Amino acid sequence: MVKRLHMKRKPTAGKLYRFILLLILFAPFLCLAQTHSFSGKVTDSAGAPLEHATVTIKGAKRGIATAVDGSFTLAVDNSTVLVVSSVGYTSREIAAGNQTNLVIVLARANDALSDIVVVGYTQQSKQKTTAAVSKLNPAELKNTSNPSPVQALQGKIAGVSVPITAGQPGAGAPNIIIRGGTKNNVYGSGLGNNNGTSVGSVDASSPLVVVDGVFRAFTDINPDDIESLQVMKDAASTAIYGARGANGVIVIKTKGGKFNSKMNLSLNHRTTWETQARNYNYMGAADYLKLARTTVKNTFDPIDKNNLLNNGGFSAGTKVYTKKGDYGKAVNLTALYDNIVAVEGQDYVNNLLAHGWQTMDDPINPGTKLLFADNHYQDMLWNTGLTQNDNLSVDGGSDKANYNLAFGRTNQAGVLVGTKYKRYDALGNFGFRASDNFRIDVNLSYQNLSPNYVDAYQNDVVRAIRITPLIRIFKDDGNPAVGELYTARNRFHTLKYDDTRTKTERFVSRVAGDWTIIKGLHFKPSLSYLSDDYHETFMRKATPPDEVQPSTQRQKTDYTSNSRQLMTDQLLQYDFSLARDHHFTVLAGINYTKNTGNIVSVSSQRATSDYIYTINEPSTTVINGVVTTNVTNFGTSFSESRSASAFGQLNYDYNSKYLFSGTLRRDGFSNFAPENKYALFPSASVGWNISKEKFWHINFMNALKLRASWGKAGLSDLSLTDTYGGYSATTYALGSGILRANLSNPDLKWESTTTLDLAFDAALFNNRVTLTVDYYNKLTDQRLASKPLPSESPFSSITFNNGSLRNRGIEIELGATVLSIKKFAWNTNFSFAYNQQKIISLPNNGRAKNRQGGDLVYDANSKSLVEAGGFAEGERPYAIYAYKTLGVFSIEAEAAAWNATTKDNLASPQGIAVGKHAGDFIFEDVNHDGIIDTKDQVFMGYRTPTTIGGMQNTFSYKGISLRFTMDYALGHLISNGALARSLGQGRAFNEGAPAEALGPDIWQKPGDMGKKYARFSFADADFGQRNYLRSATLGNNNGYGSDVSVMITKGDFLAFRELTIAYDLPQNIMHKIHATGMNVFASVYNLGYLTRYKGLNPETYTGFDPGGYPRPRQFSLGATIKF
Amino acid sequence: MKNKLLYWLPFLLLLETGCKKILEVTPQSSITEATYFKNEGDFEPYLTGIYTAMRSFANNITYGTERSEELVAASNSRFTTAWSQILSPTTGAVNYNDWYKAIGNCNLLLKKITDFSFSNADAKKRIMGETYALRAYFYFSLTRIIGDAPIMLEAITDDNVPLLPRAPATDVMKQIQSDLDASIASFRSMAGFVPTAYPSLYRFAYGSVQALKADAKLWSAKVMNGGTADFNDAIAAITEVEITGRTLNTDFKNAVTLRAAANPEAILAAFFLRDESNGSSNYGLNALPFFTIVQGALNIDSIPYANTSGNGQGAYQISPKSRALFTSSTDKRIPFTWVTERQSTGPKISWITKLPGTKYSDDRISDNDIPMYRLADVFLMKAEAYAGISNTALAISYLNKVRNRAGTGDYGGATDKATIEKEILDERERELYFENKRWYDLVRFHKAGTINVYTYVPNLVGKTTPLFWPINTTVLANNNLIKQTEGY
Repeated sequence: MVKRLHMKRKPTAGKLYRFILLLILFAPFLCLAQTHSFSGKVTDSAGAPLEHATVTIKGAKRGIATAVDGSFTLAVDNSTVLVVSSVGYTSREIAAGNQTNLVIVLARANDALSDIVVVGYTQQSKQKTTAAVSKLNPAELKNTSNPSPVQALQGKIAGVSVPITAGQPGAGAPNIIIRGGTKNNVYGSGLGNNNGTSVGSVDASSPLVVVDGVFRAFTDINPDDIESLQVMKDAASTAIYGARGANGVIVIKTKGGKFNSKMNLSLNHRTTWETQARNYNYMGAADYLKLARTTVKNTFDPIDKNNLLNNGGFSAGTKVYTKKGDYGKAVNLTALYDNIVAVEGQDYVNNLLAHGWQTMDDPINPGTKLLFADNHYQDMLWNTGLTQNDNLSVDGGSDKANYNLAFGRTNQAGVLVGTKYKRYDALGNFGFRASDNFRIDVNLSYQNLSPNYVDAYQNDVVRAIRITPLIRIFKDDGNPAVGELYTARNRFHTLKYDDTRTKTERFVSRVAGDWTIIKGLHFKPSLSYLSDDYHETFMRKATPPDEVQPSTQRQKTDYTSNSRQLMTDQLLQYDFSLARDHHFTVLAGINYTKNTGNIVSVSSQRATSDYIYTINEPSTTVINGVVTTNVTNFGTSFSESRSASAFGQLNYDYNSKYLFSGTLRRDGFSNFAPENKYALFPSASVGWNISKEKFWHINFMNALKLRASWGKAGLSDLSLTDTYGGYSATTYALGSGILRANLSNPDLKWESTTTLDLAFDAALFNNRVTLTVDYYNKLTDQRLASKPLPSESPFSSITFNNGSLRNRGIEIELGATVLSIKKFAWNTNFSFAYNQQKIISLPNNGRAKNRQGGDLVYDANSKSLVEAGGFAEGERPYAIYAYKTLGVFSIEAEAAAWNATTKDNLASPQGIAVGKHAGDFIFEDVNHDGIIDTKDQVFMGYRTPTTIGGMQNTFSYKGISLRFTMDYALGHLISNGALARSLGQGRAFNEGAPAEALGPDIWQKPGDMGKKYARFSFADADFGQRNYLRSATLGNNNGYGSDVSVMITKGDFLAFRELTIAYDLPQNIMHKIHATGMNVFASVYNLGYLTRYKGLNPETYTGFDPGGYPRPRQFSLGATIKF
Repeated sequence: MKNKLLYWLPFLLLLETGCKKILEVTPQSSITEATYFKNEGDFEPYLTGIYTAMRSFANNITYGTERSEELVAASNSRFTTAWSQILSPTTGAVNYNDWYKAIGNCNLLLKKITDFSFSNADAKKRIMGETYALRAYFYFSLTRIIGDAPIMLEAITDDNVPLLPRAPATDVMKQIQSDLDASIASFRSMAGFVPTAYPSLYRFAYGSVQALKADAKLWSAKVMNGGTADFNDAIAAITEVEITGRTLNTDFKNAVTLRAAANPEAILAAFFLRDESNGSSNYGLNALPFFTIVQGALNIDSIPYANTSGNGQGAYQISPKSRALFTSSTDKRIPFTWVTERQSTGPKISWITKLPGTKYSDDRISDNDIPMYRLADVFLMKAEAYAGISNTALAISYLNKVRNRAGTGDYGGATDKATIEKEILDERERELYFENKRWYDLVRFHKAGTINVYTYVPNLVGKTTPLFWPINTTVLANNNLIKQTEGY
């Protein structure tokens, strides 16, 4: 029989714990015992070792698992028959005989059909499942450059969209969108401004994530701990999750130990360097100074030229200094050479010139010498970020217990100075065979996260990182300067005076039992508790009194949010067979989940010193004789929601040929009114393994399954006040007031999503090619969303069961072994998903198509005004309209002729008075009424992609493997808001000018013909023609976007996502250092894009790219060693 | 072993308590429809809450000021298209939902309070008196902007919102007057009623309701052809204001710089204070310059600049046309109206000093109270009403009360009605500059024939933009009974 390496005594939890501790401490010194009997190695057909393959002796109950290098050792006698199996491969039986050191090659089984998948609360082989379930290849989670598994999902699974738009360390996606989600606005339509979020106005539409049986978020899970990750997309697999399943379900299982296995110790280290992948090409100081001064001097825009040019009104303006020392701390670096010499002395100026300062003849006032410097701000802001990632895991097991303990540490520095992400995590998975018929699994997981985000995305990222090359960054005394103003603040000033700390501690514990009552009948209770403590503190030190002051001084903030989730499942499952070929699984169970939250938020200002980080101020200060409060915020809140459900599931198959599965779930949620608390979610699915029929004679197609499913899942993301109404506090004249905050709607019902899925799974050419094609039609009814009300009502909208939305589309997953020549193999996976979103119905409101929102635009076909935009029956939501440019006025006469007949009501009020000049855009007057206004908006396209997918290639030769992954998205438009804002300069004057401002495509002087871009200008929105900063009511309508046709381009891209080369060191070398395996790798993540979009980020699905924190390119090196 | 396992399972207790109870959660941190207005003490905070809406209308100068002649751009720009008089259904059109939010709050309070018995009957009467006055104020604010307006008096609690057409402005005015009368009656019926009581100058009291009534009557007299009857009503209302005991400050400086609570001339003001979260700064913010745009000025110490553009935007200055109305160099109001920035290169921008903010140790903050009614304004209203009924002698006597305080002496010009009325209009500008009243004054005097606003306001010259605002597409789309404002 199997000779076990571990103690025979039944380990108690305490002993096991001590044992593990010892192992951890002494692991590096351990020299593991070897037996001399049968050694072997399991590899795939390409020679790559298979880890965790199971080797059992035929007839015996238990086996052992192979090590990372595929090796195993067993005591055998000559008559022993070994059964070698591994998920995804065809099992083999080997007669041991007297052989030793045998290499056992397993053929790759038809991937798509033989995997084990979790469907609801049961496990099924993929061959028998009737659901649309995709598994992430575990290789995709290996050696990732990012600390979050979210990135690794990108482009890997058909129909799953992972929009990551920002490169902040630790930043996730606003939603993971499966089959278009169930909301209108899943990608978001605005710009984020808090907690480092890059995207605003998003409808939450993320899938339910179940990690080891616990509902939780998975952004911060250590990818190294994940054993399997699967995505469930259709109702056959999600209906059993009822209330939460409508957006799909992601099920993650973390790595556990195996019974009767040797102890494995695995150490892994990765170092990642990240650099900017795409950046702004800003003009240097000299070019900018010339451009800015001549632009201001020559413009027709009614700006305060004298103030700008001669009174330091912007960074390229001069100012007369009269006091020694003033220049050295001034906001701007531009000055008059003679003036500075006179005030500060020639030595001072010579010293500046020796340290990079430059001089220039004033381009608008020849003979005057300007003194200036380039702040090299961009070079200082963006650095190479370094990430260190270490993982340690120990796993193993006896016949009574198994364990896996894993520890991880990640310290990631982002490319933008001062951004970080730190994580410590620990995982413990324990399994106990308490008796022959009772098994206990204990799962403990801990995470400690301390990210350093740029908190206010709009001001601190989008604005603050684009200040001009002539704004002073450091003062003469070495301290950072504020910059022009706090809302576009010098990042180094923020870093010196502001101290923001955020920390999340998360602890999840779960105990699950499995009691085999009689053969096939299991009772599986489980109880889990999740605690999540978020703590955010902020302290702003006193800033030098001779600087511009922040609106709150010496501000301190202390914000704590504690949330708890208690969850229990109790299942009764019976697996049995009738008449040999009729297989049944019957399951019934209940789930109860309680979520509670507690928030404490306190902040104060006017601290008396900078010595104390915590709030320690008196609560009032006397200012101008008035007692004034120092408290800027304080408040606490409790929240609680509960859900309770009962469910049943039936799986049946006849000889694995005819498959049926049905589920029923009744869900209750506390935030609905009593009569609407419960809803029923059914599903049914059928499958036919047609290739198992006798008549099947298609040789090249060795497997074919047809399947169909139908079912419902729900969504209940409403708050208590949506149902019952809410009142909130306000103040007037220092008195406390209360006002109704929203209308109640006790009639709110569950939102439900009905999905029909028709699909086939095929395997061709002896499993060399696998193909899965799904067609789905997903209808979300009774959408919980806000419905506009007439303007005469006390609220502009009410939360309502607001109509229905349909997503339908096609998904293709193709897997192939393209080449397999001797030891060389090329495997590829390709995914494609096309989704079409459409609003099907809306509550009757008397308007055509029951449109909600929208505006009137001129329709050239019908020559009439038509309603467009908003949400309307039969339309895809979130179209983008813009004002169409017909070109740029080349000369004044052209502009004058236009002014005589046409008026641009959308220019700034002052700009309207000025009218058009050479260099301005010629906007199309679509309805020929002589006025450019909202009626002249034209349809451009849509913000979100229709087609997404990816491709992963693995090339392997002996121990070397090379992986190359790509992903793509098609069909979305992007307005290059960052470029528009820097060509039009908003209402401020603090943005650097892009290289395009002097490029070949921009109008620069009268007579320039056929240019793409209108003139570079200052204060386009405030005083100008709004050439660039023009918002369309049906467009992005955001100050950081530009609803001007020429700024909008297709965002289609192909991202070269990842290139990894890995090498398994030969065994003989490893043996010398008593290791069982070692793998080294090097990778590049985010290599680049193939796209026509010229801006920073083609992965923009909000319709506009405001600039900000682009995703970095990451270079990683690392090694894993196993003992 | 099996039996022991049963002890091991602490799970088995759930669902026994019944599914109904298990999902019952008592909210700890939210007030819901079911819990509010259950207590006598719930009404006062609600009323306090409604005043935030009053403050926000008092603080919106798009409607009261931008279309008048008062402002031209300074260094920055914060004008809407109302300033350039380019208004159309697609440009600068109004979504009046904010007004109906405020009105809806009054409707709700009135509905809830009507049958609610109070232990202190006067408290209920005062709350109702204030609420009727607030509703009148909101409708008056709205009808001055759009003329005809839907009259919504129902307390909406769900998505059933009756679709209403725009009622003629005269009907809206009737509603306003009926609310004001209800308010006055409610105040008068209080057992402890004294007309001089102003429990808070930031909230409606008997005197301020009468001031609002006078204002509405003047509007109705001139804009809606109400004529003599309305003028007489206005005079009667102002007489009531006068007996509430307010007095003119002897020094104009105090009239515009003292906080309302300490200002003997104040009748009603919108409260602002830097540390009140939703009322920390007023529209004066746009007029205050920030340091970098006035640096180097020779008279920088008399310019009310802020250190940062966050606290002073430098957007507006007083227009030459308004400045020109200050014909007397002895006018004591000038330094508290504007100051011209003098650079070494010469005079530059004329910064508004009317709402100069408060200079704190860190920076200047635009947190002056905004006067809504003060005695000088009411005197000029009375002068206007007397002039309206051709009683020029009394009109002049009220005009002189204001002039004498300003140091410009008794009026000595022609005493025909037309000249007096023009003089009153000019005096209102001198006295009430940047107090967010000018556009409505111009409309009244235009309708009464004193001026032609289309030649008077520079940006209106050559335009035909109607005096009332257009309604935007959202309003029209959500209620097909709403018609666009006449003239668009």
